[in-house]
Amino acid sequence: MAKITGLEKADAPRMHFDIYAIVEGAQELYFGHEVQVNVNLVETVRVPINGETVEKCYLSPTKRRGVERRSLIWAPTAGGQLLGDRQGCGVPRTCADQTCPICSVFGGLEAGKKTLVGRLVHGGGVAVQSLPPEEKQRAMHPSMISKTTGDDPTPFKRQYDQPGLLFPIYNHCMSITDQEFQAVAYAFLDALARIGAGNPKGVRIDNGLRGDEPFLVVDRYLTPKGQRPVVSPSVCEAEKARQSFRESAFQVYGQSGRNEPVIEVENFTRCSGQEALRFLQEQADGFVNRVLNARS
Amino acid sequence: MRDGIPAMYGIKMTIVPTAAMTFRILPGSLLHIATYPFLPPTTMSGFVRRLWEMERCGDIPKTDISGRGRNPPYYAMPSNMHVLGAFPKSYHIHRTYRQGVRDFKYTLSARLYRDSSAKEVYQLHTWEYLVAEKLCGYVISEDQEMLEQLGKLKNRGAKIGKEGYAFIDSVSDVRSLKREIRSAVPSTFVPGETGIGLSGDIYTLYRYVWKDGTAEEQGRLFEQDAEEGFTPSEIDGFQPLPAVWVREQVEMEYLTDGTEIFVPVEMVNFF
Repeated sequence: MAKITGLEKADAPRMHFDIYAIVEGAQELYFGHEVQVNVNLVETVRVPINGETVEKCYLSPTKRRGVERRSLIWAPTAGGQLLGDRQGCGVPRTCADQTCPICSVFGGLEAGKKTLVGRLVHGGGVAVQSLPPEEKQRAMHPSMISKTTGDDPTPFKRQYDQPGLLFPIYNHCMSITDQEFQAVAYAFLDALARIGAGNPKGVRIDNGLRGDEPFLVVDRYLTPKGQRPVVSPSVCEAEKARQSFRESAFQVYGQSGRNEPVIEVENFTRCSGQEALRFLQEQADGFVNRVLNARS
Repeated sequence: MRDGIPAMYGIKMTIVPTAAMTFRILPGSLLHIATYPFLPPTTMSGFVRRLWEMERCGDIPKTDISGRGRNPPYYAMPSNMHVLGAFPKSYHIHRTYRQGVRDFKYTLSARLYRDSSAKEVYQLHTWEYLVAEKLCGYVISEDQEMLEQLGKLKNRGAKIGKEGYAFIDSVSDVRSLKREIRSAVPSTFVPGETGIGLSGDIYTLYRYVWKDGTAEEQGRLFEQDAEEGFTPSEIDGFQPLPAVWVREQVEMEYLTDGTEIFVPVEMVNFF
């Protein structure tokens, strides 16, 4: 029976990483769904809750994945090129090279020739509050200062997710090196301001009611010893979602009652809140220095 | 089909997804990606195998098509572990639109600047996602010890299906299963001919076709140490079969622990 080894043995050990966050729409947002004649709808998802079906706005994780991948493809490098041009890596034509900082984590495909398994998976995206989308009338106004007949604005209706909606989002990385994770951290942070189709764009990490508690958890581990702060799609109240996230964040097996920002046990490390944000920012910085600013 | 089934044991695995999932229904259209409303047995087998490998050596097998024609190896649980799929109590199928790829040679989605001469275009797909809070899965085997080992997979997660990630929230203790004819809501779907006449949704599913004489060797999967590479599963291909997902009480012969697990006896012959 043939035995097949895995990847080229990496210089560095491979670990699993998870990012859990609650993000808040800082203003109205548009994640498109279907296009009817003259009405643009946002994507909503129906969630079965206690025998009923509740409709909630949806920040599809696959859309977020695309925003993150493009953050990397369009990242500026020291040579003046964008990273995707420097690597020869785009979408859907990826380079599928094991050494590409994008494909080694997102995966790649050269149809019929090469596949590189993706190690980063995106999750979450079901809004917490069941606030329905608001329909607004917008118009495309021509830019003439002096208007004549015929220069009429074109009205259209568009739905938007209401501001203040909370979205739990998760990034899961299977078996990557610390260096590879730097790209994940960079893309996660960079994408936050770019999420949303058209304008306006942008979500921010929820800071809680007092504004000082980033709802962010980062795990780095071989053995998953922490309770995963996953907010169930059936939760509809903001405070309940935050509470469930907070409680899970501090549950690490064998370490009950430790509400510390960094919990380190054998084969498992968890950072929460400000510490998690600091860790991601450090990793993103590492990516900029090591990859983007590299002279080669 | 085997005559007579020896003593069987089973576990129940609760799988919690962290995202909407897609378990693509085949054969299907290229432009409409439909999903089963449950985790099919072969998909679950691959998922559990991936978790097992992460537990054993910290890495996942890669899907390499270079140098092997177009036949990447399969990585599934051994044939003597009957992985029966996982089923949600309540769920919703989210049907939406996605602008996908028309040609993999394009760089369409990475372009910052597109002019009218570029012939690259998107391909509109409809896409279905399964939204569920949790799935109840079952694994049955004659080998009690191997089933006990699966308890190590609690809290491990991996990507699952075409889209999505899920983790094992809980693994039950190993239960002894008896054959009994009684009325119950089946824990899994009802496969093959036994499903004829029952009321429920019918799906075409696929089972592995195993190469001969592999069960014993596959068992060594559980004895490999962390340094060994990945052992592909000796699978020849797939065979389709119909299955009915019945969600009301029906009287038939089950493998049951008496309280929670009611597996139609035929499942062990197919999966």
